[in-house]
Amino acid sequence: MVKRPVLILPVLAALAGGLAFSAIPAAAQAAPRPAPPAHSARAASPQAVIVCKAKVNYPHSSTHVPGTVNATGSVTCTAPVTTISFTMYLNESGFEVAQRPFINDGKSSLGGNVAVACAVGTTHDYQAFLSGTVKFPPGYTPPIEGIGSQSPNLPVKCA
Amino acid sequence: MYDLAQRVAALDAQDGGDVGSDVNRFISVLAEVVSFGTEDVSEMPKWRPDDADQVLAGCRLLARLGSAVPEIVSGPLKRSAQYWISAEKPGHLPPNVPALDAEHFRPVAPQTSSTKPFTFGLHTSTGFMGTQGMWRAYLDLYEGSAVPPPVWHVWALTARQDAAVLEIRTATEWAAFIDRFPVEAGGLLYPDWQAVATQFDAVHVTIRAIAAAQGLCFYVPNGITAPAYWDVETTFWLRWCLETYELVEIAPFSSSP
Repeated sequence: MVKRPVLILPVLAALAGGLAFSAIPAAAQAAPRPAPPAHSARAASPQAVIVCKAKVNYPHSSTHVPGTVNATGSVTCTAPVTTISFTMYLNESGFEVAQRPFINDGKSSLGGNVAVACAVGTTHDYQAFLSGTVKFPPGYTPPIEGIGSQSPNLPVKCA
Repeated sequence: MYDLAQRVAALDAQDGGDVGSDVNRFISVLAEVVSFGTEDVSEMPKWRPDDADQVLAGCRLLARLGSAVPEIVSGPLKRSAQYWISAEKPGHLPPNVPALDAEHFRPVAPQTSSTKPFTFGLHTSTGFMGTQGMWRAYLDLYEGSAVPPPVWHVWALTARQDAAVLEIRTATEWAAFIDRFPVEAGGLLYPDWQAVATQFDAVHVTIRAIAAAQGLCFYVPNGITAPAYWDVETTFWLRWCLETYELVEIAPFSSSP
């Protein structure tokens, strides 16, 4: 597989340190929405706020597929949303070596998994990224928001 | 998540779920317990198995699932409700042969240092409440919405009633199992699967054992056990013991919520 330099997407760069976003019904929004992370957003009806969080688990040697390093990630919202979509990326020694897109509609969560071949017995550094968007139901503000997360950069021994 | 109290707290973070959401929560929490690459035994989390079981005894999620679907929490194995899924492999691997019969079964071969081998035998999960089991739930969670969708072949199986199945329901039983059939590598004990196969046709690892044991080493009389990562309720068949087997689904599919 051809390695190419890591691509740092704008949405990821903007998300450093912030993994959660929320949207509120437009009518309930009393003030301009602050920049993300948006836990500070207020709505007249707090239960109408939808909060979404992205998480990426540590890359590891797969216990299901031999000779493979993989990482899982997910976006979980507090209520069903119109669409969740993201791409999982896996970097090896600073270079992107795999990516895989995921999408679903009308659900409150979405999981994904990205994997790459490895030579059994070798150890390399791996880091996984999740970058995507959440499209909120009609009437929510914002209607769509970027979301992302990343794992630490970790040594993984291929088994 | 190698702290079991923290693990139980994560499992119990959302009470009142139905069986499906409890199972998905279990999978999500255990998916965070992955190997972290170190080979230094001194750095690995080590427990007494009975201590681990004691911490998990207070888990409300396991108690709920234990009432609703005991066959995946504490057994015994429901032999008439087994599923095997031939999942599409990543592109770097040769494609699977989506065939299930005695001819394709890979008998136990010499292998060391694996708590969960995948170069021989057959892994199945128990269907419950109309589902195809926890492995299908895992795939739905982490693979099911991939673009393009993967191709899976799902088989429903019935195992012979006379098959000798070892039930592993706790960390204590998992640790005792390795201690009974030990093979040492790198300062850790692993199951000697060839020795296991002299006495059992299959090993059924339930989620109570997985919750208490995943990612942890245990002190046993013969040494320290290697960490295991089963993730989902699994029966690992060391011999061909299937009475019936039927292809019931070929995905592409719509993932369940």
